[in-house]
Amino acid sequence: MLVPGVMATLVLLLALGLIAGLVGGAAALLLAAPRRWLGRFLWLAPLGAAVLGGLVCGAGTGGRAVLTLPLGLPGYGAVLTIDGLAGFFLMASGVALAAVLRLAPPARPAAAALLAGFYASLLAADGFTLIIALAATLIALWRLVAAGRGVVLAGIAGLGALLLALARLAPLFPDGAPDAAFSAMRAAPQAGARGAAIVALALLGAGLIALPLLWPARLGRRVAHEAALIVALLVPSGLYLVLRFSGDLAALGAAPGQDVIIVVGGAALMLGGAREALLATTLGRIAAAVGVALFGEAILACGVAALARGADLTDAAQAAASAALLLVFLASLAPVLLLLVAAVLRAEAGTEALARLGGLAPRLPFTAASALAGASALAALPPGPGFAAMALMLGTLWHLPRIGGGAGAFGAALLVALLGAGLALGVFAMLRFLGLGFLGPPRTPRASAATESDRPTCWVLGGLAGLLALAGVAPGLILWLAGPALAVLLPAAAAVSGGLRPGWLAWLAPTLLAGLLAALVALMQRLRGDRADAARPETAWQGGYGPPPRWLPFGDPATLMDPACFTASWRCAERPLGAALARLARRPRAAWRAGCAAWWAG
Amino acid sequence: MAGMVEIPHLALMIAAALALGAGVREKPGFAAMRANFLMWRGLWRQRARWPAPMTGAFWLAPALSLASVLLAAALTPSFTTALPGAALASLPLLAGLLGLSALAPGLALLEGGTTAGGLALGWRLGFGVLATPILFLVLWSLAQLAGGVLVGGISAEIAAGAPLVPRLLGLLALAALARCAPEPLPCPDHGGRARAAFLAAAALRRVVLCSLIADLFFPAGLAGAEVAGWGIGILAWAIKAGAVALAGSALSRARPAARRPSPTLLSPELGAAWALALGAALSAAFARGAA
Repeated sequence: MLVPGVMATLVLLLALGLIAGLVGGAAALLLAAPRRWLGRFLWLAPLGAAVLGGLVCGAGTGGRAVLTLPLGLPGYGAVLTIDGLAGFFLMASGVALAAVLRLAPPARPAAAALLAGFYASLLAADGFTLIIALAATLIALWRLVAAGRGVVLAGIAGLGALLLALARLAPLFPDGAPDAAFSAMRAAPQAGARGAAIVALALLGAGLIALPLLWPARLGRRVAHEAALIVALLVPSGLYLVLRFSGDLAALGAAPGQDVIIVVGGAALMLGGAREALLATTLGRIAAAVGVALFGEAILACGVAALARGADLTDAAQAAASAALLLVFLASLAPVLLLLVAAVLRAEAGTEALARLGGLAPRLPFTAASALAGASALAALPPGPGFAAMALMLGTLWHLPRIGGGAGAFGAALLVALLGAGLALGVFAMLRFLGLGFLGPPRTPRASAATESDRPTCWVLGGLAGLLALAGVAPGLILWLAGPALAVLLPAAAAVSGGLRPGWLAWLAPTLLAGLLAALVALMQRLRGDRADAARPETAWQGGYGPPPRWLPFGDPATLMDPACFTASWRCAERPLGAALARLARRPRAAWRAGCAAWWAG
Repeated sequence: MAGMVEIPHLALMIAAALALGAGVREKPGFAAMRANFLMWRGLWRQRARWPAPMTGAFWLAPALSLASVLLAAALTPSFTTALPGAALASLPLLAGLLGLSALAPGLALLEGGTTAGGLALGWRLGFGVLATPILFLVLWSLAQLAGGVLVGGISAEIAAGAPLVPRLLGLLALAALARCAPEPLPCPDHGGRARAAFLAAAALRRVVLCSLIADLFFPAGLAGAEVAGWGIGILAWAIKAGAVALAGSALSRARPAARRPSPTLLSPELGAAWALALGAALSAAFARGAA
């Protein structure tokens, strides 16, 4: 058994070796000869990083070893460490990145540089290293996916916002120079308006850096593997920056107003993403919108944790922060899995458009099961992984009216209502996606002739789906691994209880419930009595329509479900609200009258 | 002993659901016992129908619907709060299980893939998006009054005397929601025992909902671990849940017939439910602040 300090140093050295290897790999990829060979095995690097992160989280050795490199600004070396938060993000992001790189290895130097920069940004323990590593990551990503000018400018502006936040966080040395080490920033937490400004700048910076992710319409138009790489990189990067700045460096809940900024930002992203997922008509766009919604949910949970922490509600803060970390895991994996499913469907069924899919579940059972696992991250129904996170967060919300008097109670009620709407939108969107994409009759000849993908693809999809299913059936395991990260976000609570690992109920209850549900379903399937081949074969009831003529072998399009008919009533409900809001900006009194008329006319 | 309570509890719940059975099929309300018996027997003996293009999801839907509502029934107190799963019976979990059970028939409709099925499912899911915040606000107001989300804790706290205004507003919000709610998803194209499972799930869902409302809003008579109080508990549960079921049935019957095929999900009742739920949540928050 290794001493924890020695083990932490070993893990840190291994991570440093990984980064150095990736930099060397980027150089080697410039040469034509080893390019194909190196590109093929590049996915092992993020997988190794995930194993290292898992080791840090499991052994709880985060932050015990700090390494100062003789690199960086004059007189100021780069400081590296793997604390619990960095370890958790290494683990969550490593799996998704490995999956993408395994299926679509980009044999280019930028791919290795991208990984090296990303891991250096996770390991950075000072402001300069963080900014430089982030800049390297973004430049490599822009090069790799041929980003447009707007995205590049937004990324540069995001780095500028983060620099400003770091400048406000950094205490000064006696000679007036800023101390950029994170340990110095933690020792001098910023309160009041200064703290709120830091969080606002950090959120702005993270949002600008993750801008390609927050634009599902544009992201959905990219090649699915490319979009998956962007999501696999930018979701963990954005969430890491939000949690590192607002949860660690600015001390979670220390500054009043900080929590409200995070909650409003998270709720807007969650609702916007879920609505986009509901109304989108292509699988790539839906997957990108799922990423936005989960990104927003994680930020929202972080905001709730900040609210609770600011009011000294330790248990509530711990539950909400646990939900945020569980959502980080889901947001890192689920949208990537759905984008990979989109890539499979484009290859096998020839399209990603929901209107041209259908009937794929019996033809691509493995892909359909993977899509179900990915969708269950946003559709918060038991025993899916999204439900565990939502149940944790809902269990904390009843504490919130203690904060802020009347305005606080109204804000908390609004938050509960918005959360309910977001969850229901997520369920609606995912049921529509699964139903139109995989169930029902095939709508095109190509969809009817689709076959399952090759074995490596199935293995990768199955691995990601298995991890998501594990997070739903045994969230205690993920929460146990998130313990050291939780201790970074809530150091005072960790010091009191000697570590933040989940209780027996979190381990036992979801597994027990999932097992019982599965057993009951199996029992009822057995009691059904009639085997399918013994049952009476009939044609399906066509909703009152007659059977389609013989020259329409895929059914009459007029009688088949399509994406628009599924959301028709929702669009009708949105219209009065949208019209009222639009008019409200121009003519408030007329808007009120029109809104009332539209409401009562219904 | 705690484990043994589950048997009479579940037996009561299932018996009530079977007694309600034909009422679910035909229209909201109750049917004669003999009609119920004949319906269940006929469905049990009937041979299944096997629509040609259907796959596993079509057959899985009834089992999933019934299994999830059975789990919810096992966790929801009927006559006693001393159930073995009391530590798990939280409002989010019960809401999730009931939602899963209500949505499972949608899988079979999606498998059918018809325009009519899509419109029916889209209508109900859209209404669900507007109604879920109302349910969340009402449940949240109760959680604030009791200081937790466990059903047993909320019942005990309300029985001990919680402020009346939030409870009343919450109940009125649920009544307004019941009046404007669409009918449950049409029973898909199954026959035989699969159809029986769908009908049993719908009936059991109604019984669980009525029991839950009775537990949360009228906890009087709810027994604890002592066997002596179970008789009174059973009687109280039958009266309370029956009254809630009758009220719900009357509200859904009173729904204006002209509104049913309405093209929009919005209605004045839904607006009233929103306002009442917000009132319940705020009054609970202020009552808690005052305490």
